[in-house]
Amino acid sequence: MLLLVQVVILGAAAAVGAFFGEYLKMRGKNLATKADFESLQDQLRANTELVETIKAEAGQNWAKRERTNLRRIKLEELMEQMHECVAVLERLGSRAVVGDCEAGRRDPVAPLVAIGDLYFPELENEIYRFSRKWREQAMMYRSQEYGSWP
Amino acid sequence: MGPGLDAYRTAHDSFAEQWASGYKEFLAIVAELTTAAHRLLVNIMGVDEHP
Repeated sequence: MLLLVQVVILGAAAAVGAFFGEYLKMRGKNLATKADFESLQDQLRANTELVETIKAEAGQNWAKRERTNLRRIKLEELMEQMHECVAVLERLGSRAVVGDCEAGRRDPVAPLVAIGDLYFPELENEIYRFSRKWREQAMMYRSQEYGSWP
Repeated sequence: MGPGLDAYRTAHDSFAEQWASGYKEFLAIVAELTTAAHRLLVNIMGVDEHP
């Protein structure tokens, strides 16, 4: 009888041991998997943030480059327009005395002022002085053309 | 030479004088604008090829 009881107790202990052994093994495995998963999640999060940062920086650099390029092009246009204004004024000066009516009709200053307003607030004073003086000189021509001069 | 021609010549000379004086000022302003534009270009590009 005693032997039977011992056998039952041993069997029960073995069963309990086996159960808890398996349970703890599974539990440990799950914990390890969870830790690995969290670690992977952290890595993925860090990588995503890094990619987003790089994308944002690349976007900013691209926009900055585009703006720089646009301003360079517009500054070249501004200079070309300035030289066009000088050429028109020279033609006005040389033709005023012989009464060329056509030369005074154009106003090449307007596009120059527009480019300045849009892209180069830094040059506001210089462009203002330029346009004022250009128009003053052109008006001098027009005054003569329309007979204000004696 | 009649009085008409003299008047024309006087007007012409006066105009030429005023024009030349104004044009000289205009050229000075052109130089100012060119210098400012060059300075701005250097600033935009960050490189001065002709210091």
